[in-house]
Amino acid sequence: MNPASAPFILCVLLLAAVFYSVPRSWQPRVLLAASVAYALTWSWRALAVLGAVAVLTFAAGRLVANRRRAWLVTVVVSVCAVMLGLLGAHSGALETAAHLLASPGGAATAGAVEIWLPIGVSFYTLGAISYVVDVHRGDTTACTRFDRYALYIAWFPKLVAGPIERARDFLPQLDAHREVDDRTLSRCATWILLGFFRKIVLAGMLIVLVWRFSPLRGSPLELPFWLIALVLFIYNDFAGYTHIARGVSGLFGLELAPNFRAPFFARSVGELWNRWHISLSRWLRDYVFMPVSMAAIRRMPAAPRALRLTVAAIVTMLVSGLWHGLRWRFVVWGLLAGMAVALSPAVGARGGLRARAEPIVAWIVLLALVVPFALTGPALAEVLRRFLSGASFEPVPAGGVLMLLVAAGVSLSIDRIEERAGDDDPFMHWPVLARVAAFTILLVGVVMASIHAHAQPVLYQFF
Amino acid sequence: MIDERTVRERLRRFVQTEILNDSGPPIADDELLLSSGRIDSLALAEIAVFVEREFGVDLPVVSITEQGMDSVARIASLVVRHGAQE
Repeated sequence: MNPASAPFILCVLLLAAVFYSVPRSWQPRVLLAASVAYALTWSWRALAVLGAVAVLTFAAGRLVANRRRAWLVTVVVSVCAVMLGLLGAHSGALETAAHLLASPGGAATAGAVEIWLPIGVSFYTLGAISYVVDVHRGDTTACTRFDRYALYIAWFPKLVAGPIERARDFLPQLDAHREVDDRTLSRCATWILLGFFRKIVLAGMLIVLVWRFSPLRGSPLELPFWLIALVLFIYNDFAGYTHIARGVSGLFGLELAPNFRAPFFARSVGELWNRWHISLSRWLRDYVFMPVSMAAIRRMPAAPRALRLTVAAIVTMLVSGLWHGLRWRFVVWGLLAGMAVALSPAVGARGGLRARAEPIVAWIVLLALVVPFALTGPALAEVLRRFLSGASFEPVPAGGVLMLLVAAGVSLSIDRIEERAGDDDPFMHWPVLARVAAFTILLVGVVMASIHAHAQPVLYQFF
Repeated sequence: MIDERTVRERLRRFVQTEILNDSGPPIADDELLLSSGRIDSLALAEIAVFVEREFGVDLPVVSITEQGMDSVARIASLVVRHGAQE
């Protein structure tokens, strides 16, 4: 069931009615039952893999607590990595994502993906790995109740595409006094509405532009417009889904981690990764970048600092690339992204040039790095062939450019409003009339767009 | 056990000479380092290894964060909490 849909919200409201009418001690079990049912709406395979990961890592957590059985941590992490690799390599999910971005009919093959790639597996597996590693390091205590741990893995608002939650942040919330006051309710409702607006209105407009500006069919001059439409589509699709996930979870008193913080306002490549897919960036920092950096410092004490940074950045971004899919294009993506992160401090490192150049470099890196999401190897070769063979350089359609400017302007304006509010309700401090007007515009936009367009799957459910 | 003031002094000296290479103005204990852009993520790893060698403290990965290690004072407090040794 697509989270950006009316039936999903209706089910959430029904669940809330049940949740708040049962005793507090029953509430986590109600949420677990709902999460199991939600996984089943995708497929029985989704539930089977979810259950297997939960059982394996729960048992491992009990066995490895406080630096015992380091070999078992290695085994569990390896099993999870191999499982992700095999599922990702054979799923065809990445090709489906590329088809979705290539043409209006591309989403038709989405159903076939579920056969091999259980929904959300890449996201909850990283959460499970972090739990086992943290328990082994003594950074968190082993969970003693399987029903609580299973809810952490299967929690339905984050099942489709995260955020990648840490057990140490999530599990204590189940036993804490969960208070959903008016302020929380207002914030969650705003996030859900903004999520629908980003996903259905903005991502809906932008995917049409991605199809219209296709570098495989149109004038090569359309390439920069296609890239901008593509990066804005991926952002609004994913950020919209994350808003819905966080808003729905908050209705049950469970906070989820943020995933985006106005990434297009990043002042450097390094800052970009602190603003884009934050839950994955933080996971990579804690479990890949820091251990690799510390190992490099210990084992290569005489090596230049730049070399250590380059090694750590490239290894980290390679892992990030391979997490998106076992494809050569993601290996190239990882290498390029790692180099960009490593070289970022050196960009115009003298005087004021650095401040002016770094945001531009961040934009260029962001635009270049979205290409692997949309173009397979042969498609990329075709784009290059069209460029080199002098395909007709017809003018870019003005209507499409205008539509792109409107979508970009609205998207960036919402980013600014959200950034100013921090992690709170973006409209909290607005005058009542302005607040009502904002809600009305968002709601009307969502209803109108829902009538005129078919719901697209969330792009990141294919990763 | 070692007192927090000594930890701060050694940390300040390490950050100033080894990470900042004595460039720029001397750092104050409560000056923001990471969020102001004076040090980067690799510097956090360098500080973590220094803390391990100098004070015998293996900092938990959960504590190596931007907020928790954004100034000499915050790092020193963290190190003392985790049982710094002479």
